[in-house]
Amino acid sequence: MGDRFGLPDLGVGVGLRTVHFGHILSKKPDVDFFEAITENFLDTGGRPRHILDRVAERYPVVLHGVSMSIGGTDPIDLGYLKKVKALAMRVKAKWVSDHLCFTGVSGRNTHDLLPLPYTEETLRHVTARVRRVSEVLEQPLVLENPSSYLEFRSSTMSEAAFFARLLKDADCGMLLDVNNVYVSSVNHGFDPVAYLDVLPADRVVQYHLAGHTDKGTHLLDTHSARMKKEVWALYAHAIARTGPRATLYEWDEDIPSFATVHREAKKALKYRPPLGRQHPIEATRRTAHG
Amino acid sequence: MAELARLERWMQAVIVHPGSVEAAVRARSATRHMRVSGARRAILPSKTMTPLERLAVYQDMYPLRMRDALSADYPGLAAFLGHAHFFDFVLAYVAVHPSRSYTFARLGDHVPVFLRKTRRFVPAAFLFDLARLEQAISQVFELDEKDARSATPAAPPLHLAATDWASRRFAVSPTLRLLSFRHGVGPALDALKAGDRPNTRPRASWVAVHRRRYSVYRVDLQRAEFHLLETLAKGWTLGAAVRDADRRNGKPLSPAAVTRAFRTFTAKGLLGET
Repeated sequence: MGDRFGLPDLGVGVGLRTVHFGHILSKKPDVDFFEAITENFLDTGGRPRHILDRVAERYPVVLHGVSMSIGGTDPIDLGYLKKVKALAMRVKAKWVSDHLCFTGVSGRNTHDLLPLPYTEETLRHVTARVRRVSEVLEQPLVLENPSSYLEFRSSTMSEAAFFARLLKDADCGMLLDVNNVYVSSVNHGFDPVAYLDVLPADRVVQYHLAGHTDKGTHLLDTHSARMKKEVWALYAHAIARTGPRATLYEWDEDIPSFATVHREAKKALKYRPPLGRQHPIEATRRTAHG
Repeated sequence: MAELARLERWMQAVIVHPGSVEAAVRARSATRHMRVSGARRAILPSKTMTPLERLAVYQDMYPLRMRDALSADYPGLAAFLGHAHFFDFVLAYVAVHPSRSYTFARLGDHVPVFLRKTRRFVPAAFLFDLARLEQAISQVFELDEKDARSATPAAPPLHLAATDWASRRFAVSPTLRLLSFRHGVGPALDALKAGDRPNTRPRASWVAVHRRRYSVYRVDLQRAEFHLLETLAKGWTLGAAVRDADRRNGKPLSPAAVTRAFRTFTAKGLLGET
């Protein structure tokens, strides 16, 4: 249950979204931390950067990317990574995360989180790239499990087994999106609890929570509406395994008021202690493990 | 990595294809990486969907994502074309200019030139001008604030002594973009934002776009004001700028007109002292 890489439990946070900029600056809500989408703050020197700087002065910030393409077969974009590193330093990001996926190839970016075949070849490839990225960033990369809508026949292991090996081989952290686990479990027909149980608990650095949409034939990870009770149950199971971890609520479609999003996020406090009030069992274990 | 690279190239070729998923897996762009029979075997079916239906989930989302990004940078263009035509435009545009950046901010870089060249979306000349204005607004929005702040203009004196005005030089805001159009796209953009139909008939117009304290402003200018600002921005003295404006306008600017122009420039924060 100990924390990995010395990364802190940041409590319960909310994704930083444009529609809430004004509220956050003027009301200064009592939020434990914010997560910013990395690419939205690269190559801009205007209002978004100004807002992020102001937020970072007051709150802990983590960066969450969508274009690293860690599973891609194009060369790693070092120019991009250097900008990410500079932004992380500027806002004193507690960590930098992205997704286990590819986003494009042959110089193109589809801006989607495209699934990978889970094979030994892919594992070697991604492991080498994660290590390279961590070197450049000078901190361990944190990777999120994406939601997916197809599986490749060539996969020789489950996504959870792949992740478990990657976390160890590449020495990286995991951003565990329990909604993504649920969405993929329905789409592919696997047991989401078994998925969680395969993952090494000490590598989980952060959780993502979000809502999804039932399209009839499949679930779509829309980050809209409230998180379903089945997903809250998964979160409860996961956090019981890992102990308290930074937990962030994402809402990206039909975004309601900041207060509504924050209220949804704080439902996580039913399952984990508030920041600064750790469970006594965990505190004992941390002490026992030095 | 060879097999992974082949699979990725194939999947990308399918999802960026503008036709049906069946057409996409049969297209040359996809079959050069995987034959049609292989494509159907490459993906597992689910209880409710065939392999190609599952692939189509990604294919369906691709143009929607591109549409959302382009409409954020070109809201006027999107409003003018309407939902269906704008979507057609997005498909045509990204087929020629797909995203090659980690950021969506670069996706629309070629929109004005694309509209002018393709002429498929009409009136092309008006849309070219409208897109140029919206592109300038986006570019000014993204500028580094430290550059903008370092040259925030001080207000110049409004009543210049007759003896020294001609030799004075002025600083313009470094965020300033000066654009001339064959159409009145400033008012057209206002009309589109208000949900009204814009006037698309040719009518020369001149616009300044700049930023102050993180907010982007558009200033509609008279032709003489535009010429005056343009030459002042090059570092010319006010006397030389006025003479140049006189020459380009074909008639001399009155002192009252110069004073009016300066009031506009300073009130809008476009101009300051060197």
